[in-house]
Amino acid sequence: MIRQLLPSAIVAASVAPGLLAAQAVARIELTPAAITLEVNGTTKVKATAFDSAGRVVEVAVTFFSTNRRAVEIDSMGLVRALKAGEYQVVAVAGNRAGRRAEAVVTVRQPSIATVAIAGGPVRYFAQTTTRHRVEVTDQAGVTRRDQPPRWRSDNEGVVSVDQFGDVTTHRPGAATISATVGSVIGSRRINVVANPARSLALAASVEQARTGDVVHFTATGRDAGGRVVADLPVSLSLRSAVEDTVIAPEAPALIEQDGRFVAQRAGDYTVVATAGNLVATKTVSVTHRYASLRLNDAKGHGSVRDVRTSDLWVWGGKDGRDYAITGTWGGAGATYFWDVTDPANIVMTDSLVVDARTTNDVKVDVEREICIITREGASNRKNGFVLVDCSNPRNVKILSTFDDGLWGGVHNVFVWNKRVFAINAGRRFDIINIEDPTKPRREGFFELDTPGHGIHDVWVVDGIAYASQWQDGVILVDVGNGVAGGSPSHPVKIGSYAYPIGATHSAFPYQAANGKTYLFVGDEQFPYNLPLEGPDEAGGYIHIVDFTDLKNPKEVGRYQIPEAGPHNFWVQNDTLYAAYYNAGLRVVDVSGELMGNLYDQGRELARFRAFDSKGIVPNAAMAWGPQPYKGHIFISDHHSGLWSVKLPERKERPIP
Amino acid sequence: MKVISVRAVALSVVALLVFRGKALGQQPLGDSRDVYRILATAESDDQVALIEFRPCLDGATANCGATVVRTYQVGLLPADTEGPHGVVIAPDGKSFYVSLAHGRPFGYLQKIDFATGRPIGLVEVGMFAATVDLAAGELIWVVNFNFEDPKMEPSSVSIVDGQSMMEVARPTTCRMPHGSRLNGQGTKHYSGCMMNDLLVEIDARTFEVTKKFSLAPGREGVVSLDAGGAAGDHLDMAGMSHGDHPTTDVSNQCSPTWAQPAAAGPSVYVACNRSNEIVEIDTATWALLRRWKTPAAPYNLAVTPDGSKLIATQKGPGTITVWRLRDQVLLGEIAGTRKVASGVAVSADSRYAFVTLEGVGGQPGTVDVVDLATVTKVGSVAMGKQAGGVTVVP
Repeated sequence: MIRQLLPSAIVAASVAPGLLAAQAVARIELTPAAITLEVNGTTKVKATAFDSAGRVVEVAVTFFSTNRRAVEIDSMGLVRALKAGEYQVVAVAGNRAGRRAEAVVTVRQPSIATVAIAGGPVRYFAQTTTRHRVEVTDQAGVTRRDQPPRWRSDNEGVVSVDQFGDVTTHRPGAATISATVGSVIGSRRINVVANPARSLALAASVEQARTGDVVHFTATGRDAGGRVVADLPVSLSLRSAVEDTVIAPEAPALIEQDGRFVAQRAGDYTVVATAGNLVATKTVSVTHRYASLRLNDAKGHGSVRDVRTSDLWVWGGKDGRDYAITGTWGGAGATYFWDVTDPANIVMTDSLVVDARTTNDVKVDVEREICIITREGASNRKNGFVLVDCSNPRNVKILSTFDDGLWGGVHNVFVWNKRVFAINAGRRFDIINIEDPTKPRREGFFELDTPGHGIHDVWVVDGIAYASQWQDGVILVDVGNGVAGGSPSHPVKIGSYAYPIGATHSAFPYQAANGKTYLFVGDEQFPYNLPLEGPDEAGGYIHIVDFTDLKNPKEVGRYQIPEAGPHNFWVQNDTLYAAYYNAGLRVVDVSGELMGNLYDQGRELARFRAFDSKGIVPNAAMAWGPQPYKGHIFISDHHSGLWSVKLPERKERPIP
Repeated sequence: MKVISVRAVALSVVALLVFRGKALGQQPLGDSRDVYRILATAESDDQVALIEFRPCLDGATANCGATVVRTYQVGLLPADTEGPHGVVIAPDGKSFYVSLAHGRPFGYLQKIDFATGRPIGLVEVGMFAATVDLAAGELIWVVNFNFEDPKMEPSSVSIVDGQSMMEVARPTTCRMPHGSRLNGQGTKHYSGCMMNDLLVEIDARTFEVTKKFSLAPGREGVVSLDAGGAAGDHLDMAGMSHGDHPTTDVSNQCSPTWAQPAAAGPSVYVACNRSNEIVEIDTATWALLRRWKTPAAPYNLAVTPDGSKLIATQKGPGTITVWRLRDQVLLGEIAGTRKVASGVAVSADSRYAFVTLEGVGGQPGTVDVVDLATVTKVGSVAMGKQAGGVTVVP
């Protein structure tokens, strides 16, 4: 950026300075038009402006780079290369309709500095194969993956290595393997010892399983004395015999090298363990799990057809009846209250309009029957949330509004222990004490310090807040659990998990009966952007993260539906209830250990899509939020309002 | 809130030569019998409305007035309100740029193809991207209002190359910068700082802040370039209401919401939203020329390209005022069709002002058309909710 300032050739007294010069520019040239530099290299470009007659005119020129983190340009046209790649620098002169010229700057990759071989076993036993990799850095200290290494061994009779870094040991002895990137060589000296293993056995945790069940295989090598060879490298592979009703199946099962196996098709599966010349096999039989049911029975509908519906909450009133609250999106700031005691006959009891366009989230302090309504789009731009006495859902009353420091809008809230956790302008969550609901007061807040951090949702269980923070993933915060000394006035981060997609939208923790703590983490993505015609289609999926070890979370599975994406979800009694936008409500068995894509494994129990011919978008489901309640499932649908369905008693149903 | 910025007669000739006949193949402008086209954003519906206005001449009542002829859906996420705010037409007239206030969490500048409505470019900018304006070489200036920041950190102006859709600079200015425009020559950019009572000048060539001027009543004058806070400074606004002063660094007695350079010459007019004034600053001498009272809460400003009038929206009463600039005489105050008057843009022939009115709650947004010759409202059309940014299609 910046300028090359040359005085205007002529300045008339009656017009603004620079005007004539600006008018005179008909063309600008930037030379040289193509530049090649090394990282940290510099060169100078020159901009020349011409009038319509081709005469050079003196005029102020602005320089800028279209990627200022890769190439800089200063006011005198001095270009400095910062990062390898191809970029542009631009010169602009003239008024609002000014002229521009561009030069291409090619920044060469720095030369390779180091190559190191990584991976491989502790001991190299003869007649085994193990994978190795290279770690390459260049002179700029950047990790490089753009050039594949050339592998070789100096003694192929002892050790050979292929292009993938798979090192095979043939007999005891010594050899050096090397990986060459550019002109830099990394090497490792390998001493191969005799393989002590004389036998190999393979065991499975069960003989029979259902699709979606995780089976653990354990391979054990023993020496001539029957002693276990602890560090024997074993490779696991799979042979399948899928049941003959399946024609042209996809990959029917998955085996991980740590011994975990899961099948998504019924059949007989043989796991093959190899360690050098030793081979062991073990076969397990896998049967069907469920056939997903399409839910149509016991269906209730509280229709909302003039505005989009957002979130919901269902609770039991102190009067013995059951109620629900639903928010609205892009409307007049309305919230609706429903009697859902008879789920097949949902009746609206009251409505409330606040100064907002969207009441995106609604939650209920059930103990005190206080409803919390978020506000976005307030006419005075002071948003926040509203506390409502909903102990009589036929005549709800506003207790207080709270917008202090929450002007930018509250998209989501959670209520726990008489505190409202409010997403503040997509940047942090604020903790508001509502012990006196007529006088809410801020008690604390939690905000990351990562560059560009954002937040979408927060859910609190047992004093731990699960904050869904887009590219920063899920952040676990002690807000009163005490495990890390946290409190509402002193929230303390205790863990996190992020994944590359960076679309973390919502999270739900679940303590499974098998002792594992799973965190279900949903993306929000609309990969097709805004459709110019037809209903929206979402993308992404629900990530299943084993959070049993707070310090070492592992993503183990997913629930991914093709051509749709998740919104909000709930997990209860080993069952996932997922509002999956255009795919509607999905009910999924999440019992036991989880691995792979549950959608492919027959774990889906049921599905319901709210087709309303008079909906905002007719006959197009857009499931927003689910809540299981007293054996029924309530769903808010963005296009049509509040629905209820009942899940039949779970039965294992063989696929016909 | 885009004004067709042909601020000097000589420059208007240049601009018309450049722009005319390139956008949508419409009739040339400059004649009040023409069709006027404008774009207006609907902040709470993530829409941009293309509106045609045909003046009802000679007592005609049919086939005239204002009509929404097309609605563009903008943004990225159908499930989030991203808040389109400012809008400006590309120099070739084939596309437009719209700022999206909210992202994750940063705002965006989105480029939309006029003919198909498809998004053809996107770049992340600062927090709560608001007013936009167009400079030489298709550089788009986006003010990052940062209205939502609970820490009230000093914010910035993003300068985006519209052809590559890359941000090329982001100078830090002050707290809550808003309401910005380039001068007629395109050499200087002016914005107000709602929470610092500052007028900020940025050199459009160097992208560097070159001047800061205090607008606080009784304390007018050039101040240090460090005024208004440096990047990284923040205030804890917890417990603070709009208008409170938690530190001496924050001043919003004026609370400037718009900085509008004159059509020609060095004057810049500033709307003091809190003190109900318009302030005129001479940016050649950096002297306060005058302040004059307005109805409550002046918000956005525009000047007629012929330099004769200043139009202000008053957010409080929802009115539009028209001022004669040579003597600051109020020519008229017009009641808006709805509450919360917001943006204003003026036709290239200086004849009509197009004013957006946000409305409240579920009310539609509205564009009112004011005949600046008679200072009367001559048209009105409903559009998406919370109408805000507005620009005239050249």
